[in-house]
Amino acid sequence: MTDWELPEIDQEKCTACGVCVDACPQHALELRESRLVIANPQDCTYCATCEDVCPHGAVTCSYEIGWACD
Amino acid sequence: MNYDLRSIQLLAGLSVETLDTLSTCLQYKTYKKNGAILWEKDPCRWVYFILSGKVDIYLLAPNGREQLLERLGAGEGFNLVPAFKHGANNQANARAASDVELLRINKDDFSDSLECLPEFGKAAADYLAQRLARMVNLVENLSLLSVRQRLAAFLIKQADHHAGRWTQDEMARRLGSVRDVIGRALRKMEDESLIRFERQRILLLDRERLQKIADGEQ
Repeated sequence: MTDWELPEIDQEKCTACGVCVDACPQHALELRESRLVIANPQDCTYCATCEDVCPHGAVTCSYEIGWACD
Repeated sequence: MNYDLRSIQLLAGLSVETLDTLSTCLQYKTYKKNGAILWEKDPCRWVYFILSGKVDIYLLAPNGREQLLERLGAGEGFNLVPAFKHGANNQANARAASDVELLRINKDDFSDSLECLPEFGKAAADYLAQRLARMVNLVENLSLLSVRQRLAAFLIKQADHHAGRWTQDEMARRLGSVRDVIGRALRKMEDESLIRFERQRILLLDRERLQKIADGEQ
C-alpha cells in the first residue's frame, strides 16, 4: 500500500469555482492561474471535504480497502 | 509489442496451435484512464481482453445514474455475449478505470473461431458460465440485500482480494446506491468500530461482525 496519497483533480471537469478551496479545513488547496492545485500537500489530511463539496465531481479521493491486521 | 496470451483467462489453457491461430486476429489497443471503450446499444464490433489495468462495465439509467456491473482486471474479457449473436448490439458500456492495455478481436473472427477451434469454444463457454454466476450474485445482492448488507459484503470481498482503489462514488455505483448514502453508511460503520479510515485506506476491524451484517444477521 502507498503511504501518502493526495486527492485526484480532474482538470477537465474543474471549473475553478473555488468551493473546495474555501471548504478545505487545512487550506491545502489553491487556485493558481485558474487551475486548482494542492498547494500544501503536507497539510492535506485526506478528509475528503473537497470531494464532498465539489459540484462537478472534479476532485476524488480513492481508498484501498484492507484488513487492519494486514 | 510483447504480451503473453496465456495471461488472458479464456486463453490460458489453449494449445499452442490454437493460440497461434487466434493471435493473427488479435489487435493491441491502449486507453487512457476514463477513456470510453464501447457504448451500450452500439453495434457489436469487437470482443476485448484486458492485458493490464482495469475496465468498468456499467449501465446508464435514463436519469443518468450509473450502475456499475463489474470492474474487470488483467486477464478478463468483455463484450463476449453480443458476439455470439449475429447483428447484436453491445449490452453495456465500458470505460477505462485506469490506463489499460487491451487485446481485441473482431466479432466475426471471434464467432468464426468459436466454430473452427473447438477448444476455444469450450473455453469461451466455461468463461461465460463463470461470469454469469457473478452476474446472478450481483442481481441477488441488489434485489434482496440492504445497502448496509451490500456494503459489508463488498468491503469484505475487496479486502480479501486486494482488488484496487475505490472512491465513494464508485462504491455507490457498484452497490446500486448514491455517494451520500454510502458515505453515511461508512461513517456509521466507523462509529461502530467495524472499520477505520486511515488516510487513503479503509481498514476493516471486525470480520465476524461485518460478515454477520453481510449475511443479514445483524
